[in-house]
Amino acid sequence: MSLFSVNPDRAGVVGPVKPHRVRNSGLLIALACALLPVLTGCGNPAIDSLVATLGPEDSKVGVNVNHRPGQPCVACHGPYYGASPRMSIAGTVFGNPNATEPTPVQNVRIRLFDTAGTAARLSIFSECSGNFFVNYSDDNDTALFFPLAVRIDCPEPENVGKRDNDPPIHLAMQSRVSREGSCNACHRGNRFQNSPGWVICDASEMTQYPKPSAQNPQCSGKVFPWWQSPTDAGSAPP
Amino acid sequence: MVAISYRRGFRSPLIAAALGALAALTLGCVGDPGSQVNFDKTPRFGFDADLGLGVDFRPVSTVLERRCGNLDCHGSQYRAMKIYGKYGLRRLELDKEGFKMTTGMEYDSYYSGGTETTIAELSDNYDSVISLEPVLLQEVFGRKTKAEVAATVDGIPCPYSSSSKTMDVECLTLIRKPRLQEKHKGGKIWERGAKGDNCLTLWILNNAGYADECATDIANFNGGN
Repeated sequence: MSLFSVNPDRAGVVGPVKPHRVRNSGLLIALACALLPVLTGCGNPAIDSLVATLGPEDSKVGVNVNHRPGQPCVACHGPYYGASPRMSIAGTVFGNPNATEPTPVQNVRIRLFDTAGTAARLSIFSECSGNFFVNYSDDNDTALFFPLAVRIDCPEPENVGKRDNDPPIHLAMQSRVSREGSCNACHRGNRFQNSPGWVICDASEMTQYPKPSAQNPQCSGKVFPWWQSPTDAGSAPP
Repeated sequence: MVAISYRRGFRSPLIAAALGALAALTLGCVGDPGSQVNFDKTPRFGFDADLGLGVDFRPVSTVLERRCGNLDCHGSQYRAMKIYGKYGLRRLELDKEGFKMTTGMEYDSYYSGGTETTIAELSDNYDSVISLEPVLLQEVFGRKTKAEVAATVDGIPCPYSSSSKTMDVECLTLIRKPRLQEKHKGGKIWERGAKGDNCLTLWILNNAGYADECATDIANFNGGN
């Protein structure tokens, strides 16, 4: 660098610039560059952009166990967003593979097997929107250890209103859950190259589960097609 | 007086280039056999006139697909060591116009949970496996039997066994990760000596017993173990 350059403090005057001023400026710039990522980079852009695709809350449903069926629950109910309750596993069970209007199925028994033993670690039932979840736990006795094997036991279509401890239709997940707590993160919409489709009770796709009662809008199971958002382009079905 | 023609001037570089190429062939390119790729030193992918390409690797791939290639792990599009397969991520295929992902035009039921793992997917899985530690894998391939390894390796730190000073199969990341001997976000997939572990290890060691171990592991997997 030439020592003879324009000194901003002496506009129009050409003369030697004190070296320490240049060094100080460089130091400030370096500090600013170092501080910028610290101030702006603490978030998780992957989860932020995912949550941005999920759309607004359905006012007919409100915020309760039946809200946002078909969405990746743990994106919000995880350690990053911290929505309460914190969940370790959550998803939605439907009765048919329809991409945007699947029929939710209530009283499906979801059984989770983890690496801590061969017996089912946890057993939970789906709500009227098809939603189910497992609370997060730090306790070794109740925590889930990945990878997980999953089975669902579905009621017959005429019995979805009754909670049976041993529903008769048994279906096993063909692979393991390795780390993703949101079932719907992979099981979403139509079957595709990166999705096996919704978690459904009817493997033969012949059984017709009854539509939820219009009396209770919380149970509509209406799905917002979040996976078709532009931010998910390239991995979503066309 | 010596006449110098344009033609003579043009010919000299040609001769020089030819000599240079010859020297390179003589001295360099064939001089170090150790630097060449030896295709006999990589675990078998296989070809069979009836069963087609990938016949030797398919049992191994099946284990990897079921145990590792879940959509939320090595079946993620964003992973470096990607495992494609019937029950996980399907390899990107383009439609006939070549600009859009196919929805079953090339294969029936080409979705996660649909048709069998294709040969293209097998080939990509093979690439994922052998490119994890390519040089070490070549060092290990076919070097020892499983029994010899078990007898010499226990308690001896990687990367070398004390007896032979050669790379040992149990030092490969591919083997250590699923045993959780190295940090593995997917957790412990199997114990040392489990069927899946034997499947992978014996295949790398070029031991014909690997296929049975793979088949048993898949049978156990389907049974919920």
